[in-house]
Amino acid sequence: MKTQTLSKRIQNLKRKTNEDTGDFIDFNKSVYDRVMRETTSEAMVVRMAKGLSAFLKVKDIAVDVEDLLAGRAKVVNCQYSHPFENRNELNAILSGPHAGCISQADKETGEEFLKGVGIGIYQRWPSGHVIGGYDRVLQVGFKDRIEKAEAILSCDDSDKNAFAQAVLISCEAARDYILRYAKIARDTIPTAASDDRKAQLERIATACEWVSTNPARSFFEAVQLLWLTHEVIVCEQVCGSLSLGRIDQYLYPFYAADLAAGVITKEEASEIIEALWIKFGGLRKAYQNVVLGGVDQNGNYAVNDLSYMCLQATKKLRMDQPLLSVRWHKSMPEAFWQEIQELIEIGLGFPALFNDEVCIAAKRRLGVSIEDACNYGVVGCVEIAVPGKEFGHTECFRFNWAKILEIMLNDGTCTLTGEKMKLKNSRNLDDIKSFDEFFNWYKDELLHFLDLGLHVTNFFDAHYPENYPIPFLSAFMDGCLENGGDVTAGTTVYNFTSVNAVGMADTVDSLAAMKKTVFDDAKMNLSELSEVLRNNFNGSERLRAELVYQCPKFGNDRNEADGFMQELSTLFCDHVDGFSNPRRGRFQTGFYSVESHAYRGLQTGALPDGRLSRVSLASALSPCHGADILGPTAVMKSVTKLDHRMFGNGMVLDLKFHPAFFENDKHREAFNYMVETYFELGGMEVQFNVVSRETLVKAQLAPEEYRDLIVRVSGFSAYFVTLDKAIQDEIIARTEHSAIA
Amino acid sequence: MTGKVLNIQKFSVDDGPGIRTTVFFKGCNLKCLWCHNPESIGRETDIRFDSLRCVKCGLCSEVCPVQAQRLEAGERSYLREKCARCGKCTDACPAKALFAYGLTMTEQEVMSEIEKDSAFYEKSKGGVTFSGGEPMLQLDFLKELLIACKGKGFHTTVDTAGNVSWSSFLEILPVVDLFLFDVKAMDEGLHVAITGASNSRIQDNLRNLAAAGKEIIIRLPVIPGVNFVDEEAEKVATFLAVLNGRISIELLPFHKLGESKYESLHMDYQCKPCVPPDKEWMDSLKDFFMAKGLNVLS
Repeated sequence: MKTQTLSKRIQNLKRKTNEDTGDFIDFNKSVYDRVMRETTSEAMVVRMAKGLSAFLKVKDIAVDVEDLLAGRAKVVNCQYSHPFENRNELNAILSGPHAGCISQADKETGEEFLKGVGIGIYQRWPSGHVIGGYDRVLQVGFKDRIEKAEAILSCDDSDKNAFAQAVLISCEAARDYILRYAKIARDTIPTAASDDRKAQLERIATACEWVSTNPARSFFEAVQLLWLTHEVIVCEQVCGSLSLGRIDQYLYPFYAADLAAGVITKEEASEIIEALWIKFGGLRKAYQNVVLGGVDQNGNYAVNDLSYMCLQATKKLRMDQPLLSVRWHKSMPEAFWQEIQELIEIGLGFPALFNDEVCIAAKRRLGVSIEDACNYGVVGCVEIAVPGKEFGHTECFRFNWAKILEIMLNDGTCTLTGEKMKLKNSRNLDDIKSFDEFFNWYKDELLHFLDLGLHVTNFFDAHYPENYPIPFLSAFMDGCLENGGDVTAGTTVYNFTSVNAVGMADTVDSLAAMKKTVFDDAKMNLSELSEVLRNNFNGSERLRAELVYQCPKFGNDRNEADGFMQELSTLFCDHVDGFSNPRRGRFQTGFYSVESHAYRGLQTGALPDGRLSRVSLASALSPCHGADILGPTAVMKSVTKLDHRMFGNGMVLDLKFHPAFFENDKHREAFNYMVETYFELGGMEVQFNVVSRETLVKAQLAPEEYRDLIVRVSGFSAYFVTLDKAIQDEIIARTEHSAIA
Repeated sequence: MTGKVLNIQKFSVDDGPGIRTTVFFKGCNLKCLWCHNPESIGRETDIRFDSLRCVKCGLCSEVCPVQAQRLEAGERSYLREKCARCGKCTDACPAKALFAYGLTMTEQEVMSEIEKDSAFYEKSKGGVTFSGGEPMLQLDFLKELLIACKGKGFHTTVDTAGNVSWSSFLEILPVVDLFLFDVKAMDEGLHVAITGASNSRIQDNLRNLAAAGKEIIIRLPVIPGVNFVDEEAEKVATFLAVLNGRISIELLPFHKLGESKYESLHMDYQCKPCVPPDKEWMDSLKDFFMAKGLNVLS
């Protein structure tokens, strides 16, 4: 499909959205404060619905003079939903109605966990991170939920009443909110600049009037309802990774019917998708994931005009939202892959590719039905989840493997803050006589601190329904209304809790370096190593060089280091597998790190692999920066030594390529085969950085961190840092010519 | 059996079809003026020093038996003429700032690296390429590896300058799927001047190889002012046009990637004044060969 240029209108909308730099809607805290004051005797779920309702009545709305869609959303700083501060969350529980029932042991564990958060062992971000039931909203409309809630209320089943009442209030609030847009659009018609614009406003007004209660009748109405529902969902809680699922699939019936009836053209549909994309773009750092394509349980790959339009919209608009993902399968049509590859080559990092076979198997392992598993979408970064049926707290707990190693080598004390954690077994380092002894100790402490985190996660979890219910989102999650409780109470179909890991490659490389240097070669003992690390290698440059350059590293298809990754991953995932949460759900593991590798890296001291203090940890399951020196195929081999079906909450492999690599058709073909082979080897996900000039300049200044960067030179390809400076300069200059506009 | 290997490059996508692993052999019997891998020419191990990595620990000077590595007053120096190439310093260097060009490897060691990427060869219809240096100078080692590769079902490519006896080709012919064959000049005097060797044996080998029906990609380096002077293009085309067999050609424009390697190896770089050919010239050469009925790969 040939890339068309953007219409003037879309260009203007994009410019306005990008220029609008305010990140947050001015959240009228006083609205919620007032509601909370007036409703102290009511159930929290009702109070939250009333707060949302009051907020939507006064929220700033607008239909831009050129916009094709009604809507105005920015990230809402919603103070009554899950707090960002973990301390506030614990305090809320400790001062809540059940404070008396909380044991001293639970309080102490909670405090120990917060201490762990403070020094970078743990991270917790419990809000957002779910794919709502958007397809259901489009199919049945708000009236369906309103009627069902009224029916439940009329039966006077008091257990279910509070939630039904909250659904009723929030769905009516959404209805009234959409009607506000209808009115604004209709009121503007008389002053519209042209007949064309009048017709557009009429279309917006009519659509909003209808979809405020009813299911969508057309593609336009479906997109309009989708967006405004999304606005309400992001207004209800701290907006993070509230994702859209399989947009090309659930919008398709509307599009196909309109196309067949001759009421829409492909070009018009494309422009509507672009307008929608710009709306997503206005929500900064909201991690709204959209997933395209995918195979059904009969092995048929679903791709349609909209799938192509969505890829094109991202390609043309070049905005960082929505986060675009594609479900890869060997039965994917060649034309679709071509389009995907062209987008990858642009260097936006989109789309991330997900291997259907492995993702579906990972969900099946957790008890998801084949039908639902085949319908998976992606939450936020890479968390595979069933749209409208799965509440998995996908970001509620991240665990830094490397920090455990750091504090073990320093008797439980953080080398950066001096804060002391209680190790399971405090040991004199000089008593440890073999690597296996140390390794067993590490495994023991890893699971000990994991257990602490799992325990606290469940402790927090049990207090969700009464502290942070999400009634509007819950209204369209399967089972919530029927089971009479909001989604945080375990009322939907799949109720997981997720544990994500960070610092894996750093830990593995450190263990490999310790094995060689301390135990095999006996160049130093553990307490000497401990001292060197506390001093961040000051005065130990020779030792650090040995650790960096002479020790095995994960990502080179060598078992010396990869073997540790296999062993620890299996240990970790198996342990997580055995846990269940208070919502009758299981725990699942994710091996991805968002930005956490950088932030937790800032909190992590020097490590035995030669990594200096406060430097970023390895991104997700990728090797440490510059540690993989044998190219992408070796990395893929190393990474696929793990069974990716363990990662029910997703994983990431990030690879960098230079844009010039793709200038040659033979290379493009090789790239395609490389991806295909990785997936056949059992890879779950891969994403590509096709790097910029800026990165290349950085690579020149710090070559050891960019040893894996591949460039196309003239008739061949080579590692950038192995090239002469003059050639590097030349490639940098060339890149500027082909730089992204 | 062991051989002298310069490097094993995975995800190699320019030396034959598909995704390949390229094994670079050390040692060559030509001395092309423009060679961009001067470290591949000598048969002995060469030592290179990367000052960016050096942590000035002095270990190299401690272990060097002939005082070729020195660290005095914080200044490192390397006296190449004294160096016995024993490898003690490269083994000792903690930062790998000193490293040896040319590793002695066994057939099993090379095969174990090659086999690691077999999944990638299968899908992409790629395989293994033996390059150099001149891989055919280590014929027995090469043959053993080729046989082992064929035993695994891998596609095999040999990248050669062809300056060996025809009997050497006969040794490996049955186990090579594709030859990448360099043609540097047609005129005998010119060939001797720019490569240091006669081209008569090379031309005979190429004729024989074509007649044997092997698939061949002829690689033509384009070095402005050095080869492709006077009537060279015409002569090359005439020579190639009469060859029978499965032949295509690939034009390789000159580049200066090897320049700093010459300095670090204390070698003279005679192509210093050369500039890479511009795109128009490359395009016109391509058109020229195509007009002669030759299949030019892009």
